[in-house]
Amino acid sequence: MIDKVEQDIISFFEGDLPKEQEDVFRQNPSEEVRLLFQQYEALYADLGNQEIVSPSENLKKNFHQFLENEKQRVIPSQESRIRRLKSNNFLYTAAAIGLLVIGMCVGLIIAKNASIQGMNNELAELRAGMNELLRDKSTSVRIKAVSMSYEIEQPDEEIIKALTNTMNNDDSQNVRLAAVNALGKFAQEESVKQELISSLESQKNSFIQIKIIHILSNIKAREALPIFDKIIKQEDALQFVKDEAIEGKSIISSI
Amino acid sequence: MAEGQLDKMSVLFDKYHLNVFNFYLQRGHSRVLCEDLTQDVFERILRYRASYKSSLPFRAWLFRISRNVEADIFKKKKIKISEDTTVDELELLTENVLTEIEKKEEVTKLKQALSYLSTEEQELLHFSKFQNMKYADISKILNISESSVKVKIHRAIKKLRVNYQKIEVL
Repeated sequence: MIDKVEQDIISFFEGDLPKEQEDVFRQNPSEEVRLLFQQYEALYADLGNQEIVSPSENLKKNFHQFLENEKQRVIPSQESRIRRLKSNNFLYTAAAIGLLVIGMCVGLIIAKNASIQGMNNELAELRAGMNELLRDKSTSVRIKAVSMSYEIEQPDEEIIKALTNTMNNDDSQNVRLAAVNALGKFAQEESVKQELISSLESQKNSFIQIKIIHILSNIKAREALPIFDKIIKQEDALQFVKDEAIEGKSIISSI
Repeated sequence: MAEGQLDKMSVLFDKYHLNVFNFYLQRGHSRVLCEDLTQDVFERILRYRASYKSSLPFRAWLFRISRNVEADIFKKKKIKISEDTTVDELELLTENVLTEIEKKEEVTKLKQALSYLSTEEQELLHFSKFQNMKYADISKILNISESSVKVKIHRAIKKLRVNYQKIEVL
């Protein structure tokens, strides 16, 4: 009965029921119904008040620069195409320009390779910095350390080990959740997938279990199905965790 | 594209870049990556403008492209690093990431509760409650039926309320 009322409350806030229904919920004889309505009212108020975040000025600047470059590219190329067709020296001009472009490309490739080597060295320093911060006593510092992994393109064994260790052993639930999210971004890597599956088997924290279930479901990790089954059958597992495992199982099993 | 059409592109960018940027932000990406992805979306709109069909609402098309851009980036696992980025600029990049992380620490109860939902559920609620899109338009982004959108949103809201009540205030 309360499930039906809850559905109606959601329908009301989704705009599917008339405004007159509000009093039915607010003045309902059942305290449970009144409380449920207040909870959804607060939730929808927060959903409606989400902050719009603005990007830096760079985004607009870069995009308008891109448009300007497009304009320069499109309009002169239309004019020069007409001139070239009229020119008797077309072939000689094209050859000269071709040689110039080839020369410039070779120069750019050489400069880019040197720059990327420099980048790789700097990224190695970032990894070392992250490991040190993960051992800090402050929760906020450890969360910062986990977030640094988002800037790494390809995690090495050391980073995965550090994030896994954090996920399984950190004192703070928030830090452990941040580590799960970070590992989730690399979940397609076989080693990361295996670590997530192992962790799910031994996890006691229901929020972390749910997060891992979502990640493994999204990547359709069939190897996780036995663990999902174990959770579903586990007597002391919370019902909402079992529900997520059931849903995850159906996502993975679907074509 | 003629110059006049490029100017129209500028209008579209001014009108919709916040929508796209915030879409990526709620997916948990850093601000720097969100800006890169947003720029990619509008470059792609410019390149593939001929494929737009007016029967599809523009915002639905915009977010279809946004989802594809994100999927492509993570498939290639590329970080866009300019060949001209110097060591000083890389340090600044790191600082910007840390500043953003500090801001992220003011995680609201709502954001925390949303983070426990699946990606699909978060996406549905973002389109419905943040972008204020109708079920019909959301169905065109995700290629599912309108009734499916409604059922999934109801389910997600129900879960969100449960999460909301369970979150401990730290």
